[in-house]
Amino acid sequence: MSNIAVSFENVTKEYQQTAMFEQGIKGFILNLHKHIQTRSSSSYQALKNVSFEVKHGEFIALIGRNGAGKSTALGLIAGVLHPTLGRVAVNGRIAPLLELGAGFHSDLTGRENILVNGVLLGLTRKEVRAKADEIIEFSGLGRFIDQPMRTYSSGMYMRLGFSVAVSIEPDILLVDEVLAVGDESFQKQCMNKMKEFKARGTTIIFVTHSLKSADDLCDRAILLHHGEVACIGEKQAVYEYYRTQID
Amino acid sequence: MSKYHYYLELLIVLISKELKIRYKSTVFGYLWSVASPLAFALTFYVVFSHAMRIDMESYLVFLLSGMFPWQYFNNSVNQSPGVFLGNANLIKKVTFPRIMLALAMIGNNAIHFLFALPVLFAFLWGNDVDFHWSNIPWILVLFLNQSLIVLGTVLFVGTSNLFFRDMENLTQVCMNLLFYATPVIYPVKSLPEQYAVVLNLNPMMQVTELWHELFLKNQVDFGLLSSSFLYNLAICVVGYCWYRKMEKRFAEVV
Repeated sequence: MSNIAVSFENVTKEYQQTAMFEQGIKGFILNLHKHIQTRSSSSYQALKNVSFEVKHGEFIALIGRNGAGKSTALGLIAGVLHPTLGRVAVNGRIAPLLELGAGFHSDLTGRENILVNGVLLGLTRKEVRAKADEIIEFSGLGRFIDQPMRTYSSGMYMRLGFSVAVSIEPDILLVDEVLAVGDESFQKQCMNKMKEFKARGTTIIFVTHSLKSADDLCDRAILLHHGEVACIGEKQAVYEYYRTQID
Repeated sequence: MSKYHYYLELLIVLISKELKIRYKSTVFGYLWSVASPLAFALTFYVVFSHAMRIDMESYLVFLLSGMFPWQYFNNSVNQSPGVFLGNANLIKKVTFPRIMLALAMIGNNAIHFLFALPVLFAFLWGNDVDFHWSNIPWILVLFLNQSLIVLGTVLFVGTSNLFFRDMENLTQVCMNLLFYATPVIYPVKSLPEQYAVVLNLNPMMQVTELWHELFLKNQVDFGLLSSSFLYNLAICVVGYCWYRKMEKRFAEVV
């Protein structure tokens, strides 16, 4: 395996802004002339010519304001989005930390959802079953694990989601500012788990718009601004730049 | 672990998830998948044998033998607009072949269809229609043949609905029309000759005819089966190609 976990080479990601039928067929017919005129220019660049590399074992924070392109970058790394131009290369197994409750069905019990989620993240049923006890223990849900998830609080959803994601022992863990939900003890538990991951050599890419949450752990930071890399390097320098230039 | 082994695992988990949800949220789970085609068939039976008077031998079993397969098609297609759209949070975060979502939904409906068949057999035998056990393998053949249209249509509608949300309403209207264009409640020979060309464009036409012949006459017309298969295969390929072409953009538009 090469030394590079994730690399972006001149990546540009364009979204087509108004899909032709966005306002339904009536809107399409009424604005036909507009659609023809603007067809070629109606795109929005979420990332513009972005290049960076993340080495294996790095803990890196992706920071920037809302709409800076952080989630797009994360989607490209996860492989759910595809670059319009340039190249995204990823080496190793990825685990995305799902948004609150994504992939969980509220009528199923926690235990049943562990199976579905674990397999969706790339494990076999056998592997998930072997890890189930460990996942349940880490989640701290106790007897709630056999209750339907609609009875869970949002913090409990989060605990289970995090527990499943970390159990697949990824090479690269993607964290999309979701950890703010759990209570303090769980946040601490998460941070400990991430330290453990870091010690083990897992690459962690952490998306945030606040500077505080990842302060202790991350080595480097990438600052995105209006879809471009504004600053990249040691976290102190990047944070300083963010405070003075952008905030 | 090979890629295909993993896809099979994923499919099994997704189908059992759908089944569990179905059985958890309703008390009579299995009964509903039988009750709904039965209720439809009985309604038409009452209307057409008492009110409008269609003169046909064993009209009830005729209705049922077309209604169960129709329900498999109808339920799958009616759920298809939401098959990708309803799983937006997964599609945005996790990479897995999105077709699995469609296959799981269809698989769920297929299981209900196959498990409802004993009820159909009971009606057939109760009405002196002598359906042979030896024809059971043909049920599987016709089922797979019909599943081609189901898959093609579900992929086409599910994909299109991401880019063109009116698809959902359009599908409902079309399915209502298609029901009356399919010989479920009337025999195919009662159709006027001059419309045959147009009506034959409906892929469910030939499929329903095949089911009727198998259940009521213990026959399979190979000419009909092969032309139906080719047509269904074409529909499946079109749906699949459209899905493949747009798949990369799913996470952007859900």
